[in-house]
Amino acid sequence: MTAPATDRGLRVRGLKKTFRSFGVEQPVLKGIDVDVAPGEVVGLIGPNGAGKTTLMSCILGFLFPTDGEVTIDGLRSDDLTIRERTGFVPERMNFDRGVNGRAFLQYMARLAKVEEPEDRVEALLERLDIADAAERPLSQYSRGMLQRIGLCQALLATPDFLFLDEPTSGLDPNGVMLVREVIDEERRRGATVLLNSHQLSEIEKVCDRVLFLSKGVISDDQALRSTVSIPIAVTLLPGSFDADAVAAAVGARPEHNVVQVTVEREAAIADIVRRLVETGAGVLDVRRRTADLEELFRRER
Amino acid sequence: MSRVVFAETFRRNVSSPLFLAFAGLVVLVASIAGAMNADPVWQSLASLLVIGVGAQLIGPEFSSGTLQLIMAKPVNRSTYLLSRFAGVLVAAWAAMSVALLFDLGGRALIFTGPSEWKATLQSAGGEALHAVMACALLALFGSISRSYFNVVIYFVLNIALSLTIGGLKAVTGGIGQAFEWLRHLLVTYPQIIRTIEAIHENIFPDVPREIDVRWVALVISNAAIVLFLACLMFRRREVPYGAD
Repeated sequence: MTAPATDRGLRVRGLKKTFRSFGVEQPVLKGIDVDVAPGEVVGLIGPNGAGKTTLMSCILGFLFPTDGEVTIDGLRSDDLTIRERTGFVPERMNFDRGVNGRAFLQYMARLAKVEEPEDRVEALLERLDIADAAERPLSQYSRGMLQRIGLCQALLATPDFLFLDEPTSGLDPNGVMLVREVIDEERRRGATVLLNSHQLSEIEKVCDRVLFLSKGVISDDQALRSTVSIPIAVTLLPGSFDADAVAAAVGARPEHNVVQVTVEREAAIADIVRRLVETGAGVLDVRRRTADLEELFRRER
Repeated sequence: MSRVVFAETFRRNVSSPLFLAFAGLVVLVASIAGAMNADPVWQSLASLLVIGVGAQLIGPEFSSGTLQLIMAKPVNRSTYLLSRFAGVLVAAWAAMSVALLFDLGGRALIFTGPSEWKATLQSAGGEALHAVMACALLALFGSISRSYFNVVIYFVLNIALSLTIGGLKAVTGGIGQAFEWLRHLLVTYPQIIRTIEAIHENIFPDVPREIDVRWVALVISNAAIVLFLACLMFRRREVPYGAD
């Protein structure tokens, strides 16, 4: 959607994927263009069957596109140098269930060519709060514990690109908060994250941008956080304001007692409030406005 | 070859209770055969062990979803498959080596008459090579199927070829008047049966009593071709996740 200045980051161009079964063709992805800039956290939402998992599979090189191309930092996504910099959390963690958590992570760490794998594994077991269960076989793990161990294995190589498929699925509220913290840490570290989730509130909290996938195409691309402008919503005391005066003061008419404006910098918010108060309006609340994902979901599906 | 994948495959096989139980049975039978200076029948059991460990070479990983985690790591697909092959083969060889030691030990320490150790050693070598071909085939069939269908394909193909050869030979011998046209064809072109026999012998080689260089070269070269095809198929294989 937005054109990148360079080949850096994730770039998907004209991606199509059609499944064939007994001579019947079923197009799932119908020409996807996506750019995710380095360090950006992008959410992928859409109804069931929209093609989110297929898109992620094509990006990761598990499925081969019928047409189009996927590159990460200018290289094919299945290039081994890219794989060294990629972490992936599947929706359902599957592995030999007889292996214990620590042994599984150490195997994954060696595969990922992690230097000093033992130390890295121990650090992540602690970080993801699952060290106590490290000696237990995976068969005894709950769904939430498997998700945590899945996140551990994805973070082993300190990846530059993190692909998360429903990472909070099966997690309790503590686990959900932990995942959110981890994503935030990865963002601060400069990692690029593509997050596939049905949890709209999670997407809203952690993502810079959201892509809405519907019927095999990206039907909307919405920025949730902007570095160049701050959208705010000011709630006014009902009956305390004159709509025309408010519109003249801040350039936007109130709807349902809420006036929405965009400012260039945080210092300008106080000026907006001052101008509203000068019209006689009672200001009840000022908050940063994010895209209403539920509304978007309803509109686009 | 990935040392990590090889070591993990070997470790997982030799620490599996099922593997240890079956290998223990093979060793027990080998000890008895050695003590009685009998034919090394344990080698047939060892062939089953090879099929058992070879079955898990790649097919089940498609179904379990394990492969998606592996493929997301910086491992070349062919390297992964060949390392799995090597790990499985060495695990099978390890069990066969222990059984052979017990067999030879029984012949040397318990049996008092003239020992058949040379023949035992030679047939064990043949079985070890046979294991190479069997594992290569299971790798190929695993790379084009899911779950344990690699074993099903292995046995069905073997049985189908054997039955075809037997049936065609019976028709040539005059059984079944309804197939007179076929008998005429097979008598006119005897190379038809010879070709099917050659295919069978190349894919499922019987271990000869006397192992010669030609047989060794045949098995190794065929196994190499099969492994090459397995790598080719595995590289072209899609690994969908979330499908199971």
